Amino acid sequence: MSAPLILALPSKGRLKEQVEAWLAESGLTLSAAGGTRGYLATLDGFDGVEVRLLSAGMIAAALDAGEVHLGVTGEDLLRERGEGAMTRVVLLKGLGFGRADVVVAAPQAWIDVVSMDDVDDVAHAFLARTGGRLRVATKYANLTRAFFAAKGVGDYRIVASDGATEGAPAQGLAELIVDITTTGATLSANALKILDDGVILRSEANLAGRRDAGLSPAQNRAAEKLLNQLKIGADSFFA
Amino acid sequence: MRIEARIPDPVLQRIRAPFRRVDASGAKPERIDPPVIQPLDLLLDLSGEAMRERLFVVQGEDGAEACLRPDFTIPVARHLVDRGALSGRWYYQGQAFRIAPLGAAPAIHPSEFLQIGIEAFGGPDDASADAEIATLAWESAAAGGRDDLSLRIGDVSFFRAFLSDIGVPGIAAGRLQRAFTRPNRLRAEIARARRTAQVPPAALGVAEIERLWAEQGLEQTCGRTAQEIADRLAHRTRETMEPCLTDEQAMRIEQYLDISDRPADALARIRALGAGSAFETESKWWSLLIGDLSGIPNDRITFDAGFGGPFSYYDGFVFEIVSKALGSDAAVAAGGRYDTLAAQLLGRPVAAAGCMVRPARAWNGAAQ
Repeated sequence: MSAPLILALPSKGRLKEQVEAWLAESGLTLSAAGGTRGYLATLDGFDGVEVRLLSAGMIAAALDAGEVHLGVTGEDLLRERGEGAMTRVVLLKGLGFGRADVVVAAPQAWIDVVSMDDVDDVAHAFLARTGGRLRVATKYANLTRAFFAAKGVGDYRIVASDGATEGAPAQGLAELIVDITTTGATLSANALKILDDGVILRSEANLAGRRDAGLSPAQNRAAEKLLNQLKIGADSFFA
Repeated sequence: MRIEARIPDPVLQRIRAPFRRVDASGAKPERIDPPVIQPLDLLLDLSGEAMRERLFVVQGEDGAEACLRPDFTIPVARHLVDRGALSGRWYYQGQAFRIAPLGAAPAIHPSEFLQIGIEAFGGPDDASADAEIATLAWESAAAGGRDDLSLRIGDVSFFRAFLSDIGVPGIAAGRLQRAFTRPNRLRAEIARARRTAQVPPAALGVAEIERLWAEQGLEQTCGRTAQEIADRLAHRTRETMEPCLTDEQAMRIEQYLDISDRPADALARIRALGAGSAFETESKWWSLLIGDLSGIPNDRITFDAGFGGPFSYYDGFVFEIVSKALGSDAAVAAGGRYDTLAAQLLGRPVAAAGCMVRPARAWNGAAQ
């Protein structure tokens, strides 16, 4: 049998349920395969498609690396991989769930700070006073760097954050954060506020494809059939 | 990995020769070899977060992140501070490492490249010192054999003087000047200064801010005091009382920043835009500079009014030498004055200027 088309789908949590519901709308059913470990699945009626169940972050990485042909993951996770990744991966369709905004948030105690213009002022004063730069805690270093550059804010430093980013200011590890939020409740609970012009990206789950994937004729037929059933125009994927 | 062409020794010697020459004070520059591996934190603190995407980051000792030197200016200055040598001239020759921008041609933007240059600390802080550094860079770059080189110069002090001459109010002028090296910031500041209906922020005193904090249970102030916030609110209030930038002023600023011409023609155009006494004071310095650049053909020099230099730490005269064949984003040589950065590293005010040349770009045989 020839190599299958590889589709990567989220392996756990709410996102997995939402993806399954979205597939069901198009009459597609996912069946677990590959034993009890459950990292593989099949789509009923699609013999030429192998489904890999991965975390959303791993799906973004696998698409970028060309290890999978199609995948569902967050736009934020793909864009964070940098401009290079966005030349290799094409967003085929926003799926309307998995919504999260990537935002810049500042301490509520900073009454005078409501915009990125204010951040630039304060960052400049901070550098002049302390000799160090304002620290921004984030897991989104690339998105942060591109956004701050677009806003012309230069006097800051990124502090990598792996865990609960919203706690970084209270812990004295950073002054600002860039993180995802859906309702803003977690930010408020941590005495942080979103800046007026601080929305970097309104992200949602996307079906994305690897450009120049070098699909065989059989893989191409499988992709066409699948995208057709999902009612997704995919000229940019096959181009 | 993008590797650059190896340059024949005689060519390299010719490119290096200007930096080893005895200077005006009779001293011969000494060779300095700063470490390849540099502390990441310090480099980013000094040159800004935007630099990070160009850096090869490595795991350093004691778990601290380090990087391969992307340039020599900061490594040389650090090395001299460690040795306690705070004035004099040093030349260097060695590899520097930078991740190429997306889509850049590998032959012109190798990840690892040879750099030769000179740094001068504690020398005179005047036009002839600036001109001397630019002339050394020119001689060195030209020794590579290219006949399509040109020198591009700029200086933030002219911008400062121009803003004052066309009557831009003090606070707005300060912000615009600060944004000079960052085009996106400059656009944002011009927009901010033009806003007609600027509402003054609530003028809160220290006691009121502290009361608000207590009421809302805000315990974390993240390094800022109520006094600092009250001062900034008062400053913002004064700013909203300044007349906003007129359409006429905004237009002239944009026209000024677009000027890129032979020095004499650029000067005439800046005067026509309304430059007055402050600018004339600076332009005397400029005449001296241009006079001292006499070793460089005048028709190869461009004054670019919006040019602020390759790194944000250049704070006065800056220059770049480019080759027509290589294009404007692949400088053959660059340099300028960086007194503020040097003072930050040395812990006391010091005049500092320097330049670097990339021999593989200067050599006209590299492409063959």
